[in-house]
Amino acid sequence: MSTPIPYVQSAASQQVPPPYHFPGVTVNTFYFNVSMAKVQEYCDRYLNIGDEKTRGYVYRPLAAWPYASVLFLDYPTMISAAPASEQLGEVAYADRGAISQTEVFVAIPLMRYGVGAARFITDTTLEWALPFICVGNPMSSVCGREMLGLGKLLADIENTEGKYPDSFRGSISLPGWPDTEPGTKQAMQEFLTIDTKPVLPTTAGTQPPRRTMASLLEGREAMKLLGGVASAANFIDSFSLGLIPTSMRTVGLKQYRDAAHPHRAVYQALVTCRAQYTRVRDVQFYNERDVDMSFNDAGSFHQILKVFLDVPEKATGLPFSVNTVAACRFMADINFDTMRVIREFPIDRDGGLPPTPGSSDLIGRWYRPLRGFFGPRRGVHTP
Amino acid sequence: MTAFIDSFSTDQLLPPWYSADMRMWSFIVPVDRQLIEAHLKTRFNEPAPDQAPYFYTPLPGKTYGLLCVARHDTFSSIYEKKVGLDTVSHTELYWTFPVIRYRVNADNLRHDPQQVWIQPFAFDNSSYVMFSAREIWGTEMEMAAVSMEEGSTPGDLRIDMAIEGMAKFDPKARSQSIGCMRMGLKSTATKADLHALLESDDDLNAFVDILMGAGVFTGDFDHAAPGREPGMEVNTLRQFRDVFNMDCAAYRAIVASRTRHGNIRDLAFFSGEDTLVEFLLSDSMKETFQAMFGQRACHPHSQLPTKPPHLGAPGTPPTNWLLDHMPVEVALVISYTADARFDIIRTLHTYGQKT
Repeated sequence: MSTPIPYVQSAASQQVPPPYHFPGVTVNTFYFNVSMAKVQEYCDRYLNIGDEKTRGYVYRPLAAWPYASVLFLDYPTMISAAPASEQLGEVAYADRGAISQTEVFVAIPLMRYGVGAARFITDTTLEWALPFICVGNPMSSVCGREMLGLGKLLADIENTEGKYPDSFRGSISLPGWPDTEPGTKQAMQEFLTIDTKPVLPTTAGTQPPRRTMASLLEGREAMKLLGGVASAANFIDSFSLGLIPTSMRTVGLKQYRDAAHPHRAVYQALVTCRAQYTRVRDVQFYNERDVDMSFNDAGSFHQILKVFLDVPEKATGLPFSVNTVAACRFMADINFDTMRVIREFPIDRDGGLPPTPGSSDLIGRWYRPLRGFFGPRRGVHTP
Repeated sequence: MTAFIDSFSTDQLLPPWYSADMRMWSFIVPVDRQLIEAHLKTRFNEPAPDQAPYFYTPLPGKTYGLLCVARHDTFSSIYEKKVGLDTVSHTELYWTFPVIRYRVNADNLRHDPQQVWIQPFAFDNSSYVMFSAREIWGTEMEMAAVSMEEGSTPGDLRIDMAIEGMAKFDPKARSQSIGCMRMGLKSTATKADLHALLESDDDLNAFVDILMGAGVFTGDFDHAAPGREPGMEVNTLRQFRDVFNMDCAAYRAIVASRTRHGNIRDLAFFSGEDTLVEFLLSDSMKETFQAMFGQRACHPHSQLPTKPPHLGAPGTPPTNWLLDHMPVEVALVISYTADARFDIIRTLHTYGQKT
């Protein structure tokens, strides 16, 4: 699969090439407890594919951070920063204008451990799985699904101020089936709602706020400290060892089906992308005790929820409330870039052909600039 | 076998599909042979980098295509007799034309000609159908808002379609809901006598014969003309752009599928002279429409008497219909209700496969 295959370009192509630049993004983030067993199940199904010794890595949940986060992002401007190609023969993507959209995803931090003593050191790194992601713009959903290994669903997303000034209300409506009965037609249904009271400090809601990291950072001393640090992003990155997303390296399974045999894959790879949050500003916290987050555990939505929540075995048809442990909002500029195929899996073929060769590029991000000093690039054409 | 790992985000309407009571409007539009040849060259006939063992040419004689709008009220996946979580309602719009596909042998000789259909563009108002079409059999379908209204008389027919896109490419431009296509019949339109229309036009007569042979509006799911498979075989270029090099594909293949119509009813024909079909030339769509229908004279406004609707999301700015309207000539209109079945046949060729 290493032979360059030309792509037939057209102005209407929905597959807009990366990297992307998103200035002035408003992010509302809500943290909740997640079951380590669920996360491990997710890792084993979608990331730890094949024999551990052959693939050379294993994904595990981050025991020190048993939280998932729901992020509501409002992108006023999305720009493809792809440099113009001589073969494009059309207006460069960067010169076509901007789109805007809303996006919601669930993010869970994972550790990818290299297998074996040497790889444990060089290949171990922190990455983020996005077990659920939806967007409001069709082109964004196509790019995510077909190019980046992100299973973006197309949704109607409400992302606005709630009842109180400076509060937040978010909701997602998705196409879904209200029940599993034969013949029931798909319809747009509410999947998730989140309501908050105003950002802290506020006289509305529960008093006094519980003292978690959120309320701690709201304190006068912490705010002084924040003000003294040149970049809030750097501070948060250092303070939380990268767990508050200022530079998220996402990992996803990108795969294409066989057209005639949809249970077979004709391409399968783990793809990582960097979402770098710069100029993080206006960081404000909500009182987590006054956040109401509720998923709709009905019909086909149950399949989504059971991936990352401890829902009952069967759909209840009722709202499933989730306790929030911290919640904040901020603004940032986001760059989405540095895509890598870290593991391309061999694909079995018919007609007596041998499987396509697999490949690996698993070096951890910290070791990547140094690896040239310690030997040749490895991992190409591994089985 | 390498198993595809299913998840809720990829578990969309696996084929085969079955549509009960599909409502179809087909507009027969003459199309320039050279434009068909240009499309076939870039999508199917050029090496990429290896040569597919097929060669595609336009049909002999005057060339036509079908602009189809189909409303599927009950559209289901029947993959492995799936029951439940499998039915949607949606409306699609696509452009398709017949061509001849030859097999090419090792000596570069063409043989075994077969008529197949090509679908250069398609739109749908269901994200699940769009994901399935794009990701499984490769039609580069776009999400659209489609309004299809049929009244008590043929002249009440109005089909309006909008997409999210750019009216004008400009670094400061913003994407918005933009008009894409308008169709309708004139208020004076009445059902036409097919035989009378075809008697005066041998080329159109020949094309209608092709449609009848393919069972497009005479269909029976399992019966076909002698020596032919039932239904229409559609060949699609399935490609996914590489994230590292925008000029390259991570995967590229030719996929064959088959559409069959059965239980045809409410069949009616209308003269093309009673029809208005207009494409709106935004920068997002101009290239696609002109590649298929050529560069034609445009009107600044629609020639349809009714105002176009707002087709954007609630609370968004009005759909931008202030674009050049490019009318296309229609030879004949066919409308009917039918049941339809759609199957994938196989992947004909995968590019870049090393042996």
